[in-house]
Amino acid sequence: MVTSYANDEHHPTGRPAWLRPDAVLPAMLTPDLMLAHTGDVAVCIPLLSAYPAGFELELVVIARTDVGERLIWALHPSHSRRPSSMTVEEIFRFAVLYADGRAATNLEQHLGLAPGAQGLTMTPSSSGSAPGNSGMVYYVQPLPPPGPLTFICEWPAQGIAETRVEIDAQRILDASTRAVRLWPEHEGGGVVTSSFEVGFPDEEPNPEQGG
Amino acid sequence: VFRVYPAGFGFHLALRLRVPDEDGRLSWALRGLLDDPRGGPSNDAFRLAVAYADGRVAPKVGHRCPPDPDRDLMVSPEGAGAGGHTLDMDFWVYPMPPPGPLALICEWRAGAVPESRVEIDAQRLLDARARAVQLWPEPEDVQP
Repeated sequence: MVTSYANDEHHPTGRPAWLRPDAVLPAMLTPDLMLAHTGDVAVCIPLLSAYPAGFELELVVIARTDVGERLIWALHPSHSRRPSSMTVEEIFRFAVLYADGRAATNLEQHLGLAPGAQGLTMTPSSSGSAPGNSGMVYYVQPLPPPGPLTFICEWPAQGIAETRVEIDAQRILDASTRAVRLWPEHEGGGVVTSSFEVGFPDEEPNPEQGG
Repeated sequence: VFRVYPAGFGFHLALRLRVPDEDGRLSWALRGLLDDPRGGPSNDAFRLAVAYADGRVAPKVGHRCPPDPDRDLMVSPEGAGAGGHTLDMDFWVYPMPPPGPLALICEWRAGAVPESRVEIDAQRLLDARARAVQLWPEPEDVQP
């Protein structure tokens, strides 16, 4: 099944700032960040894409064995169709922390909603999965302030305690100046439509097949 | 950005339209990339090819049979997403290229894109292969 979070309707005020701009060719960074690597699972951020007003991060979770649909649901804690049988410990928690104290987490995602008072949003752009391998792509805006940019994850069911890795936010700030706006009429960074599609299982997972 | 593994590599294709796709061009482009038999007029298909320095060429994607790495070049789609202005698609290429130029070629007449070719030095991918991380021993490597 494919679930569409945002359709192609025109937004009354143009493309919202918290959605990834489509009319920009981002500058790529390969930070090779390994957040966790246990005997059964690895969590990494292999790619960052810098945009003029934000950045996109790719979060990849690789399981040593196929744990079935539990892996997909673990990465989508806010989804309304997440099986009720999943425990809190099975939810993968992920956060981005700026040097000025602002933070965004995957437990409070923005899907077409206005950002909160902090103004920092982390919105899913896309996702994909294969047996034992699942990835999420998030667009984070605005750009971070200079200083450490911290990625935090925690996954109790997989034995991953709260883990932090940092990069120098200046790398993203420098890269953002190399992003290319494809067409001049999209100075705001994007076009006025958006879509986000992701595949989800049609049925609740069989507990006997869960990880 | 190329994702380099010990035996092959992946790359991401991003297609962007300046104006909304009101006539379904992206859908036909996607079907062309997937070699979908329900594809529309041939001119609407997005054509993508990968060419190695030794003459091996994958003129279209979607080969599903186990290839002979000495003779064949396989380009497989790994996932795709499309919206009003965008088409994004990931590909897996097997085996690794030999030293020399690695060419990516595309043509999309429906988008007024003539045959275009870009090349990179395959040595960059061959060098990057050494930095791939083996997360766990392969099953056959596990000691009893």
